[in-house]
Amino acid sequence: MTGIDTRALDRELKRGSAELLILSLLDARPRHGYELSKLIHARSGGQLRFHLDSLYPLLYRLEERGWIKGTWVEKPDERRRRFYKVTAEGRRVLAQQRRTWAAFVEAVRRVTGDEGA
Amino acid sequence: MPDWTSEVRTRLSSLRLSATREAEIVDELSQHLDDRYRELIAGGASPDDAARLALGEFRSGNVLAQYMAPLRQAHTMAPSTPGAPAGHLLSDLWQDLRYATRTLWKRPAFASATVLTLALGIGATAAIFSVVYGVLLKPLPFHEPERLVSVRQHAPHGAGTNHGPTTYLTYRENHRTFEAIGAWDPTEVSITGGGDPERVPALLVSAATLPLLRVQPVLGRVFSAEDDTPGSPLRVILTYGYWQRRFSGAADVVGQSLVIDGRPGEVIGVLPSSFKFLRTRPDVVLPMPLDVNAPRGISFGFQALARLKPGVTLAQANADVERMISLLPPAFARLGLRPNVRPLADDVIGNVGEILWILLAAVGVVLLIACGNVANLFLVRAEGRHHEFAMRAALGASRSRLARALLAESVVLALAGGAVGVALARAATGLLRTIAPAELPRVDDIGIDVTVLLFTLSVSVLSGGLFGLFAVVRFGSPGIPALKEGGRSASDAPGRHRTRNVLVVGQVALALTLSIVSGLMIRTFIAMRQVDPGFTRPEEVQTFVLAIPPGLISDPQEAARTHQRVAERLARVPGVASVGLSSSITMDGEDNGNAIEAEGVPVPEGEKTPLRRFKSFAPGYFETMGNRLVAGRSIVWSEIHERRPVIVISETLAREYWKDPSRAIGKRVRAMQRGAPWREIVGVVGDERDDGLNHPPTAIVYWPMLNENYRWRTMAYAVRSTRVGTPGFQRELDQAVWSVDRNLPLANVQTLEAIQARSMAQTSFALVMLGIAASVALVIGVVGIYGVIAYAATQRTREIGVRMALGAQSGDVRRMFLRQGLSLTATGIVLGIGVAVGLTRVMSAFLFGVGPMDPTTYAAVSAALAAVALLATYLPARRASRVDPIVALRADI
Repeated sequence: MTGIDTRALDRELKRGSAELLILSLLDARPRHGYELSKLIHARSGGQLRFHLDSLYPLLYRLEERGWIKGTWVEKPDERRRRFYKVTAEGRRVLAQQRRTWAAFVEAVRRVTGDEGA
Repeated sequence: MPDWTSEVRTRLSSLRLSATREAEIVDELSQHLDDRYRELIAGGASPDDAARLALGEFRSGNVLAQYMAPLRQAHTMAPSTPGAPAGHLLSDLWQDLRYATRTLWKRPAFASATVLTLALGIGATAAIFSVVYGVLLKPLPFHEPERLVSVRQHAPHGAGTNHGPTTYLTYRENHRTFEAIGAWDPTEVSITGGGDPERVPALLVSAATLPLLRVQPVLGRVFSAEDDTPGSPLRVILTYGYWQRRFSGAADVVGQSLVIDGRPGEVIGVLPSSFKFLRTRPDVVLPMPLDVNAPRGISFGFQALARLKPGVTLAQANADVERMISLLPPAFARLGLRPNVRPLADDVIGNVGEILWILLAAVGVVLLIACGNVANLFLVRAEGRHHEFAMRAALGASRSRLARALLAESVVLALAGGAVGVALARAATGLLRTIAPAELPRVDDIGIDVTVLLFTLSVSVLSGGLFGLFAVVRFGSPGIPALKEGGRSASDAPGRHRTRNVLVVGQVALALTLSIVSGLMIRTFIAMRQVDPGFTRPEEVQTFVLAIPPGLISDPQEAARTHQRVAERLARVPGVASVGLSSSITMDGEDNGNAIEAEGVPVPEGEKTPLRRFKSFAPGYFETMGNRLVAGRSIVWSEIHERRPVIVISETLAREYWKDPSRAIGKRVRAMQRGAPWREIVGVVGDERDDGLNHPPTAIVYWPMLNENYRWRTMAYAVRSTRVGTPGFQRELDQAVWSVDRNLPLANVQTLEAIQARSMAQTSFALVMLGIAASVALVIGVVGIYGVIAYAATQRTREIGVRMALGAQSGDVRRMFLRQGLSLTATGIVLGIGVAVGLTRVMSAFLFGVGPMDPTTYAAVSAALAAVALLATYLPARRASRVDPIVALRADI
């Protein structure tokens, strides 16, 4: 097994924890889609991998909700790139989600203790 | 660097993105793929491998479009703000239809199943409608046909429904509401001289008839008042077909001469090929001279039609005729005549109207059942898209917008079904024209024309709307709960089963009703086959009509001797077993009746003496037909020539007067006429079903040819031989006849079997049509049951798994589904029986030898339907019971 299977990831996408990943990564600085996918892959130690066909719909969804904002950046001799940054609203949601997530992880840790982890 | 544009664009094609947005996404994703490609190349991959691996970012099943679909931007091309200007309606509709077509194109199995089912239903409906329209509804092929009326009388005592010189001339001289009134009478004439003599159908008309129909001849002229005057030279108008056949369409035909019934007649004109006159198919049209000055007695024998003055109503015309009836001579008063002016078209239709409407209703039912099936398929599909609808609703699509999208899909399907249906109907009408009974008038008018196409179009749209509506009612307004369910468990809602179950019950009920009706027709057909028609082995009997017009042989004695010579000559043709002749063959439609008086049997006072059918006959008739002698004997030729006072009657008549047929022998009867001589009954013969197998036997009096009361010179010949139908046989018979007299015309050559088939034609036609309708209904209905059970089984796979994991046996599972299927079927059967009981009363008129509530038919049909339904339930039930609990449970994880 290399990494969590993509079906499981897709389910996570639906449920919202993937949003947390994106918002967290964009919180540091604006990034484009390819960079996001590389970062998630690298930082999860190869455990998480976003396919292009689920990553972009997710970005667009967050954008439609007003949590992130994309801007085109043009460089000579290159295709234009779209960089995303977190909006004020997105930052508020992120804070909320981080709290929830921390509480959740803490709760799971307490239940499972050290044995199974 | 590969160009990713088309790869990306294809995957976005099912979405309704604005052009700008689509370009942005294509750019963005292409950039991503570029990055990935470069990275792979840097890692040592070949360009081909790199491109392939990069595109591996797209998973199969177009996950991208799936994830994009719920987004607002994926719908920007169809802004549906509530209260948006109405101007968008049409373009929205077009968009809906296009989107629907695209969606359906991607589901070929679903779409083709639906289209085929609908095509069956719509095609059958269109085919029968084309018959109903061609026969019943299409206007007559005359100028302003709505002003043409048939002028008749209601006659409570039976005499006087049509016309004789008195009524006709009185009307012609006194009418106020008609533009003109004309007489007509179909008949047959013998045409001799130049080629084989032939007996052809003819139409007698008064001078006014063709002009009031606005018929223009293609050659020459129509009759003038002068041609109509008694004593003027005979003139004849040819119909187009006869002109082509007899004169090969010669342009100089006008002025030529034909010998008609022994009289020379001058051809004065040719009618156009479009000329069709009601139910007649004449070859020649002859004038109908009526002597205005002749004494006017009470007689009736021809028909009249009129063209109403503009603006005159039927009621006014009837009032006018009522006034004219009072102008008739006093002797007419006891007939009790009342006016009966009705549209001319009604005369053409006769009694086939009812059976055609029943057939149309039957195929309408098939269409309903088909719609039921499609509605079920459609519901299943809509369920699968529940989440999509919920999402679209949440994103702002209005309820009506969603409903329209659903309806658009159903209408697109129905239109496709209609298109295939028209093709089916075209094939079917061709078939119908060949199997239609002779009684069906205007068969040539049946076909797929603009009206039928428009009808089919409306039926398609309507049925699309009908089955689409089920889905709209169920799914047209999904709420937020559907979203919370994550689009997964919505399918377990109880209402879903209810709708589908109701549909299946309705289908079973309708299929059962149709099957019962067609079952009753089958029983009728069987009952008719078992009736003794008064003849045996009809396939061995050749019949034809031989007229000896007075113009050919004037002396009746000589005419009778000629008939005898012909009969004897025919008997010598090799292979001929026997020859007989009679004024009419069983079931050939001839109907000549009068009353008789039996010696010693008093006529009840004040009671109308019943009419008996009169036939004139000669030796050999009963033997040739295969009718049995119940008592006594037949007659011999010497009794005819010597005019012996003998007579033969049918068994029914003998029983009516003397209970026992043998007691009739030696009794005397005579025609109900002053001074008519008594005749001794020498024989009683078996009954003939002269009015058809589904009517009681006819009481018949057989007069020897050459009698004082029933003179008849045109005789129908019956020739029994095992050679009937073999090549050359008829030619030998023709030669035998002409060896006696070269000028004798043969007409109506047909086998007795053909006559019998024609008399059963209406029943067999109805039987075949209803049989087809019922079979289609049954198949579609059973497929419906199968579909519901099979679908329920797949939906409940997990539940079955749990049950079986908890110890349920496969038998239990099977029983569970069988119970469900059978309870649906049983409900449908009970409902269907109820509907059938209500409907079959209408059918009574078409039934024979079986009641409209015949328990055997009801039981047999219900049992057959239950059996088929059981099978349709058993198959999916068995599959469900074989579910492996482990697999079933895993399916949900």
